[in-house]
Amino acid sequence: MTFALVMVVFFGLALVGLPIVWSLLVATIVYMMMSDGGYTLEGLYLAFAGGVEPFHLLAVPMFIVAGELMSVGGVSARLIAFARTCLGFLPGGLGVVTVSSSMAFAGISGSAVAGSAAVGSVMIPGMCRRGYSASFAAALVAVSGTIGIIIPPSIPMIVYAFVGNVSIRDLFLAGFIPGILLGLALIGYCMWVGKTRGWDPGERMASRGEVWRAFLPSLPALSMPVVVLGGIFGGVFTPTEAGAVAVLLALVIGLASRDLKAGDVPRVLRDSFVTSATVMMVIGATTALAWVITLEGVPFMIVDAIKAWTTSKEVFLLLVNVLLLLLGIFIEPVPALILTAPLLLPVAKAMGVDPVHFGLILTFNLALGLFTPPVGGTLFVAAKIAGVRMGEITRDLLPMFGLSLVVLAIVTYAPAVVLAPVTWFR
Amino acid sequence: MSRGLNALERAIDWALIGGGGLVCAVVMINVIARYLLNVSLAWVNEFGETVFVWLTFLGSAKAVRRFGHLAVLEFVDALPPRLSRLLFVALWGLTAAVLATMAWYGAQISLSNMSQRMSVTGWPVGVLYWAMPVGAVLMLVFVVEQILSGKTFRDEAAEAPESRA
Repeated sequence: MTFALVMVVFFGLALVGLPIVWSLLVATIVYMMMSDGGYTLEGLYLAFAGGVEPFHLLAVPMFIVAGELMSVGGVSARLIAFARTCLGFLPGGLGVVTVSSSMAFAGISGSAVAGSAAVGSVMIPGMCRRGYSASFAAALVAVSGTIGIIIPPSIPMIVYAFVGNVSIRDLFLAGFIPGILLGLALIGYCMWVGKTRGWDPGERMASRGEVWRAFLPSLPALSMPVVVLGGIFGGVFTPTEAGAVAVLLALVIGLASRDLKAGDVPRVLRDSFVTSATVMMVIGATTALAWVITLEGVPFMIVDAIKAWTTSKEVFLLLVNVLLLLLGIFIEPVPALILTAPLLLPVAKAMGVDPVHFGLILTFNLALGLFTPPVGGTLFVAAKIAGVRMGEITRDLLPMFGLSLVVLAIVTYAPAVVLAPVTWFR
Repeated sequence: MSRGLNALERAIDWALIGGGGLVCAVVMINVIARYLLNVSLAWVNEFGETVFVWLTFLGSAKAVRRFGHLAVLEFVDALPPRLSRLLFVALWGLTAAVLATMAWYGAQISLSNMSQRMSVTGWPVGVLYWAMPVGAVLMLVFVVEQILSGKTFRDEAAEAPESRA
């Protein structure tokens, strides 16, 4: 009961514009005052500091820095040029190129918004020139950008790994199949749209020489996921160290190609560490809240309440999906993840759901939240680049949302398929 | 006042750039040292954690000034100016109160951890914790500045960066 009131305090404050970190701290302090556990503010802030200090969370800012360096350093432009030479001949070719470059960018960046911005700034104007409607182009970029947090590396997965005490490596491995499935579904849809609406019959097929000439300049970018992810999966370095390796590679590739100026680097470092600080502060505040609710035994109460209602794993997962889709409409993936994981993971474990599988379900759900109107990171970026209103995008989003739900259903109910890479490497 | 605070913000910027670059470099050097020289630099974890915590609280202060903290603004965007300002002052006042407790209790935690040493570097554990009260005071300064300079949620919606992780 007290816990429900605390949630009301949190959502009440957050929805009237108080930053999430302060909303969480106020809710936690209210909780401490209402229960008679003898909690002190000193304990609260000690828990807060404990949440922000773990060394492996350094992977978060590092992958943000690497992603930013690659956006500034022309890596996305080269990936797009290569994808266009290879796939531009298909019907709906430019749509196919948008999705496939988003997938390639996802393999080197851990943020969905960065991917949408990098690919969208080139592809939305390109698609509009070819005759696509601006709202379709924006919707496609908003949806395909979310593959950025499904295919590894993924910042929300790094955070979940910390909150849920799961291996980052396993989570990363689990992201491949869902990300590729979503990408293929979107590619199929683009081909169908390009043909039926007559927007884009496809370009002339490129010759082998042209493919080669586009391949060479994108080779360093394409080799990055091999080095970074291969290093993690092969046990050569930890995910945190992989972040540092990614930063170094992005820096070398960007400077060598002269697309990145040395003068850009300080700004990228500053902005990336500010972004990571806002994420870390929410992690700290959630750790403080989790400290109180764990001592109060709230997760057990939730487990009991849900078990009294249903003992079916399938029904529970359906419930989780609905809850997260609703939450994802308003709250960005990382804070939503940190809020829900400590409460839902104990229930999931009690129901026999694999924690890696559960993390994947959470990430995929919240990725959808990035483009569900009216609020969402990739939705905002894409709408802004295309200069279209939410209402117009929504109509074009619906079929893509439907496809994403189909993939979500596969992710949720066919764990043997999506977790196959995890079992291979175990 | 705002000129002094601009200088303060620039100092934070340079700390973020220097510290951020350093921590990336150190972790990278550790990988290279392990594979090329076959030595593991044991101090990297303690050093990295300490710098990272400082970067988090300093970056958070910068985010306060630039309205960079994650927030749901869609429901307050459309409020009439007077109401928007009233709500802003009330919520930012609440934030200031929270930050005051963070500064005070953070300092208590730091002081009581000054005699405890980290195992490899030998630094006092309090060095890491001091980031919290120092950061909280900086955030408090910027929050008070925003209250006094008559800001509203409209400013926040206009200034907030769109590329949040």
